[in-house]
Amino acid sequence: MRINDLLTASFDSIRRNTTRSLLTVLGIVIGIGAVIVMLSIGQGAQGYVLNQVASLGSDQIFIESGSGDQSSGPPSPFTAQTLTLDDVEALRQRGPFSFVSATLISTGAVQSGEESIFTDLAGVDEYQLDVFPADVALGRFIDRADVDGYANVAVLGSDVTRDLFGDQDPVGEKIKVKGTSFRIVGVMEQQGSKFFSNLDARVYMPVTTMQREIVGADYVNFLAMRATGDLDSAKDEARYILRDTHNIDNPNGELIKDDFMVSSQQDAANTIGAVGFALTLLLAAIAAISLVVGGIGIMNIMLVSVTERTREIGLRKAIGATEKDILQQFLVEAVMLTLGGGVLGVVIGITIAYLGALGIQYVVDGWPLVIPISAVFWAFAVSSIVGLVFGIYPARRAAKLDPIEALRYD
Amino acid sequence: MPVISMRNITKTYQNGDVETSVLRGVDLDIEKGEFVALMGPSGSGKSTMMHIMGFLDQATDGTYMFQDRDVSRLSSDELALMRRGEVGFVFQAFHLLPRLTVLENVMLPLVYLGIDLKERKERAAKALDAVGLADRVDFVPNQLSGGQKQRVAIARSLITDPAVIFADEPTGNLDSKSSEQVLGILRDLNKAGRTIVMVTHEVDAAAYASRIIRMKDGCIA
Repeated sequence: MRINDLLTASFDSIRRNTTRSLLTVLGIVIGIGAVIVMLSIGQGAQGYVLNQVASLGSDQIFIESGSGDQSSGPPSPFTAQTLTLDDVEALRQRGPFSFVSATLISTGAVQSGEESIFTDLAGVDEYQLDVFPADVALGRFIDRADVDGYANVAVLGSDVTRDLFGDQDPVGEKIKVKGTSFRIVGVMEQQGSKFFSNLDARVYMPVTTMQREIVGADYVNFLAMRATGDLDSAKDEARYILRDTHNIDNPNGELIKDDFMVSSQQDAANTIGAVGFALTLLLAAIAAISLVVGGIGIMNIMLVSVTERTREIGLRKAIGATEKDILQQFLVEAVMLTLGGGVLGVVIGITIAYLGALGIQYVVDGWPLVIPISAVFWAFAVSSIVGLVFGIYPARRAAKLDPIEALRYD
Repeated sequence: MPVISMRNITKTYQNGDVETSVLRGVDLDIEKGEFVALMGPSGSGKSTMMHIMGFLDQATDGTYMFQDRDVSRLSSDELALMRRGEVGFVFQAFHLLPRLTVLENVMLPLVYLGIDLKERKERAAKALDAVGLADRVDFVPNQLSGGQKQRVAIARSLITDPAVIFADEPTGNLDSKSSEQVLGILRDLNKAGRTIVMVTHEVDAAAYASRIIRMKDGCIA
């Protein structure tokens, strides 16, 4: 039998039973579609976070309060805040870092005349923009003199400016933050969101002023810096310095004994990569299960089809079809069905993934639309294999039919 | 030289411990150009004879020469290849594929000979013309009468230009008028030189044949 005759015959018999064929491959369609959607969104999330990490630079080191052993769990809001401006000074003087910047985070009411909003407050120093790159639109950023002099000055994020002053230039105006008066010295360019927090909704002020006037404490929430040499030895150096300033006796460098946690963006990227790999494995397992279930459906329907077409098979054998001819016809039919299901699943999956990404982009700025090309390739390969594997038994049954018995079948 | 030459053909079925003999040493020669009617009561072995002659089945023992070639022992693929090129079948139940058109049904045997679509169509049209159904090529079997269906089946059996056409009770499902028409076509084909073997239990049908072979209890009577 010629290939094109084989394909035509199989295609015709699928087309004859369009509804049944569609229902038969529904399992495959859903399985493939779901995997494409989940992979697309999973890879989108991974891409989004990795982009954010990359935008901060791979030489960035980050220090928070808490146990130094990250495997003991995520940072808790009740963790004692152990980092101070003395630590910043020590790291600047003794560490292999180009910039060390302290940040203190809080929230509070910000008021200008009649307008009042509740927003994020960030106590920073003059190195903030060297570690977290951003541009000043109007005026200037917090400088060294502001920090040293406990100055009541503030720099506004673009959203805060818009909410309080509309299109007016606010530089030189006064605002009240939690009842304390501040003079606006600058406005930031729009920055968007980083790590799901909107940087444009921030009011920046000197960390010293914020400690004394707003928070009433002498700690800072985190330190960020850029390493000048090897990242890992810079992290070790930071730990060594902080153990000294915190009076921690830890000669063997056991992280669990530390009251601070040193991490780098590289660590975060590695973690995200590992999570992504685990996610992919999980999806592959779900896909495998759904494809086996779908494949059994295919086998079931093919067996029904063989029984229904017993007389046709008998006739084809009587006019000279060999076992191989019949086997091929039913196998090609099964593969055509599953491959068709795979194509349908990919189309539906990509459509949903595309719409989903559009929806997420509406909420999360900079969310990438990822079409997992390799998954599309695998979808086609795997659905064909499912057809072959689950089609072989019904096809063999058809091929082995005795022509005389088959012709007599009612 | 006979087209079909059988010597001491036996056929037994093993059903558990019970052995049933359907053919008990049949000798038969059929010459080229003959129109043979195989008659006999049911269970006489006439259908089994036809199945063996037509390569749908194999004898348990004995020698079968087809066109001077020993075909007593063939594999299932070799049997399929013999059916493909050397013989054609007409069945009582027509066995047309309901979803295919008349033309496509007639073309079907040529698919397995690997003949391209253009030639298949030409040859199928010619075969349908020979049975008087040139105007029905685009019909599906359900739109045809029983007599017309059987004529389509005859066209299908002819299309590979086989050495022998086997007709298994070809008029069994037809009224007398259609039967006459179908038997007339078979007689005309025979007159044009085609060898035909017809299994029937109707005396009227057997009258169209040039020779009648009667079977009883697995032997030629």
